[in-house]
Amino acid sequence: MLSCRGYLYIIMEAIENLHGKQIADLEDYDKGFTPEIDARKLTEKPFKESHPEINQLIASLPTILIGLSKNNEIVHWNAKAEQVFNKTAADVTGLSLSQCGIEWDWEKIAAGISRSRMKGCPTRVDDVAFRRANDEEGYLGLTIQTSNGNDDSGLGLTIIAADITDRKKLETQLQHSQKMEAIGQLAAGIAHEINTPTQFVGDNTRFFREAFDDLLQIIKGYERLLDAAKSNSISNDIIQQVEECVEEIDLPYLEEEIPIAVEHTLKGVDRITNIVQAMKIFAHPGMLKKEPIDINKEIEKTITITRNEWKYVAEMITDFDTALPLVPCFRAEFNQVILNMIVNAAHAVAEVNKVNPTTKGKICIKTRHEGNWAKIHISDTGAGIPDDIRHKIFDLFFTTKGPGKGSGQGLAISHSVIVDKHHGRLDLKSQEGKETTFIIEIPMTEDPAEHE
Amino acid sequence: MNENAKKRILFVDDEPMVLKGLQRTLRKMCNEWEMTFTSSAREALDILDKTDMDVIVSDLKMPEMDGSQLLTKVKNQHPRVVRIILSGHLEHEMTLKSVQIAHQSLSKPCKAEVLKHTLKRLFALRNFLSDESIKKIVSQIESLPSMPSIYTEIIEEMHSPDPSIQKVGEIISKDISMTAKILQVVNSVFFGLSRKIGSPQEAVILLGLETIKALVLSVKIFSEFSQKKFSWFNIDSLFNHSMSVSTYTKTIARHENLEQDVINNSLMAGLLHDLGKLILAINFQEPYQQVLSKAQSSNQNIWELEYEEFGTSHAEIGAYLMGLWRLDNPIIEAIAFHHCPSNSMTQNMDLLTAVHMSNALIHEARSTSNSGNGIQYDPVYLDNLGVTHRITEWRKLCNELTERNA
Repeated sequence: MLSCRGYLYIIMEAIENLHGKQIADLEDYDKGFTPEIDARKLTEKPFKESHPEINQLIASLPTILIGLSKNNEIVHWNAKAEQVFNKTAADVTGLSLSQCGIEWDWEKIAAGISRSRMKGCPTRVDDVAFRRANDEEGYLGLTIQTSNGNDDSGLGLTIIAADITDRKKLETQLQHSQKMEAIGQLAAGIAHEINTPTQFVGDNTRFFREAFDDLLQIIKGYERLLDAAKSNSISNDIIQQVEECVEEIDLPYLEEEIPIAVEHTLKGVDRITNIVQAMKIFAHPGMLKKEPIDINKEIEKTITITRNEWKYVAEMITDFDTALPLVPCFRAEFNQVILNMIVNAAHAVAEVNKVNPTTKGKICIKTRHEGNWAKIHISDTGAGIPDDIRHKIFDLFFTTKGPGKGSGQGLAISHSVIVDKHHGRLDLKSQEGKETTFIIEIPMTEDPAEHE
Repeated sequence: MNENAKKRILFVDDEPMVLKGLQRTLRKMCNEWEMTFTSSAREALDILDKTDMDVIVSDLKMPEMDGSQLLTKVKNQHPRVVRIILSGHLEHEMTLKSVQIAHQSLSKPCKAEVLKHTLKRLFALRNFLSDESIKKIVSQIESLPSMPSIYTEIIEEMHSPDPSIQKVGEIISKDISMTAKILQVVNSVFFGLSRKIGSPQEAVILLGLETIKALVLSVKIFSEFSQKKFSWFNIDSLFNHSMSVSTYTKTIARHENLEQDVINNSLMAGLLHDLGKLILAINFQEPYQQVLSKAQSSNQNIWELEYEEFGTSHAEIGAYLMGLWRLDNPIIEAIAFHHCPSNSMTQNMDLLTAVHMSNALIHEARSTSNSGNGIQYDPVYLDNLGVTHRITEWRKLCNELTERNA
C-alpha cells in the first residue's frame, strides 16, 4: 500500500520534471514535509479513500512514473510508461527493472540509482539511450528517488522519466544551424587560406618546369662537351656554346633559387594540408558519447581554420599546459565553442584595429589543469563587453554585431554546450575598452556525480 | 612615354612567398617588364611616389592597409597607373567594393599565362592613347552617367517589392553606361566565369538579383546624367544614335552570315561605339562644348575636330576605357576604329566592318538630308575587303529597318 506522501512526492516530482526545474529543490520540500509526516499519518484514512482519484491523476500525467517495491519489483507503471515502452503494467509488474525487457542504457540508470541511494536525494540522469516504441533510438531524462528505508511508504524507488528525444533533436538542430552559420562565415576565409599557397605552389611548379628545361639544355651542352672530350675533339666552339648557354640560363640564379622554391612549395603544401585536416572538425558529426580528447590539439586545429579571421588584426598567443591529460568531451560541440570564442575575439580585436590599423591586437589562449578541472582562458584585446549588456551575452539571439555578422546564437550555444552538456562552467571577465576573457572549465572526469 | 621602353609593374602582396612565386614564374618576362615586389601597401605608395609605374597588381586582404584602400590612394595620387587586383578572397562585400576601384580583378590561384595575357593586353591597349593627361582621366573613371529616364527605371525596379531579373536585364541593355559597367563587373574573373559574357541579360542572371541590388543601391555602380549641368550635350540623341547603330550592326552581321560570336557581340559594339563622347563631355566640358558647336557650324566631322583639339578622338578614348574594363577584344577594336577602319589590322569582314558601316550609313542619311558630301565610310578599307558591292544592299536593309521602326 502506497502512502499518500509517496504519491504526493511522485506528483510533485513529476510536475518539477515537466517544468524542467532543478530537482534539487525537492530536498527542501522534503525537509518541509518531515514535521508533517506524523500529522499526516493521523489523517491517512480520508486520503486512502481518495486513492482512485489519485490513480486517475497519475494516469493522466504526461510523464513516465515507475514505482519499485523495496524488493526492487515493479509495482507501479503508469499509462505513459505503457505507451513509451510499449509494455503494459501487467507485462512488467513483479519484474525487476533490469529484467523488465526494456532496451535501455541500464548501466547508466543503475549508476544513478546507486548514486541516489548513497546520497539519499533525488538524482537526475540525462540522455539515457533507449529503444522507442517505434523502434527508433531515443533518449530519456530520468529523476530517481530512492527511499531511505525509514519511511513506511512501501516504495523502494520511484522513477520519473520523460522521452526527451524530440527536445534533443531540436537542440541538435539549433546547434547544427549555428555550426553551419559559423562555417559559412569562415568559408571565405578558409578559401583564401587555401588559394594563397595554391598560388605560389603553382607558380613555383611552373618555374620548376622552365628551370628543368633550362638545366636539361645545359646538361646536353655538357654531354656534347663530354663526347668531344672522349673523342679528343674539344673545340673552342663547343666550350663557348656551353658557356653561353650557362650564362643565358643564369645557372647561379637557378642554383640559388630552386632549393628555396622547393622549400616554399613544401611549406605551401603543408599549409594546405594543415587547413584541410583542421577542417575535419567540421566533418565530425557529433558523437553521442563523450570521448577523451586532447584539448590543446583541438584548439590548435580551430586556430588553423580561423586563421584568416584573426591574422590581419591580431597576434595569436598560445600558452598550453602540455601536461594536460585527455579530457572527456563531446568533440564536435567542444570545437564549436572554441570556434565561436576565437571568431568573437577576432571580431572584437578587428573593431579596435579599424580605429588603429597600425597596431595589431592580441588573442591569448591558455589551457591549464587544475584539480578536477581543465581550464581554458580565451582573452582578446578588443573593446571589452560593457557592463550593461554583460548579463545578456549568453542569451539566445542577443547580438551586438551588425546584420550578416552574427545571429546571436554563438554564445548561447556555447553556454549550453559547456554548462549543460559538459557540466562545466563558462565565465567571463571583461574590462571595458581593454580586454575580455572567457573562461571555460570542463570536469576531467566523465561522471558528473564526482564533481557535484 | 616610349612605347618600347620596359613596362613597369608593381606587385603588392602581404605573403612574401606569393611574391617570390610570381617573381620566379614571370622571370622570363624581365626583358620586357621591369617588376618590383613589395609586401607592404605603405611601401607600395612610397615606390609609386619615386618610380613611374604602368600597372599595379595588388592583393586585397592585407594588414594595416587593404587592397581597396591602397588602390583608392593609387587612383587619386597616381591615376595613370592601371589597377589590377589579384586576390584569393571571395568575401562578397569586399569583392563588390573592389570592382569600383580596380580596372580588372583576377582571382588566386591565377595561372601565370592568364596574368601575362592580361598584362600584355593592357600594355597593347595603352598604345591607343598617347596623351598622358587623357589616359589619367580615363583611368580614374569608375562609372559613367546613365540616361535619367533609364536610371529612374532601374532604381524603381530595384526598390519594387518583387524585382524581375529579366526586366533589370532589359533596362540595363537600353543604356550605354550601365551596359558597359555591368559587363566589366561580370567579366571580372572574380566571379569565376571562364567564358566572356556578352550581354547584360546574361550578366544579371549570372550575378543574381541580390548582387545586382547591392551593386546598384550600395556600391552605386550606376549614376544619373545631369541634363541640367550638361544642357549643351544632347544625351538623348547620343543614345538614339547608339541604339540605331546597335540594331544596324546586328542586321548587317546577320545578313552577311558572320560568325555567331560576331553576331553576339554586335549589339554591344554598336551600343558602346560612341561611349567616348560621354567621357569627353563629362571630363572636358568646355573644350568639348566648343568642338560640338564647331561641328554644327562647319562641315567637319566631330571626330576630326576632336583630333584637332585633343590629339585623339572619342573612338580611341572609349576603346581605351573598355579595354581597361576588360571587354572583348573585337568590341574594343570596333569601337577604336569605327571611323578609320583602315588603321586596324583586320583583313576580313568582321564586327568592325559592321559597326563602321552602320555608323556611316546613319550619318550619311542625316547629312544628305542636310548638306555635305554624304560619304562617311572608308572606301579603301571596304575595297580591300572586297565588299564594296554590298554597300547598296546594306543601305537598303538599313533604310527598311528605319522605315519599319518609324
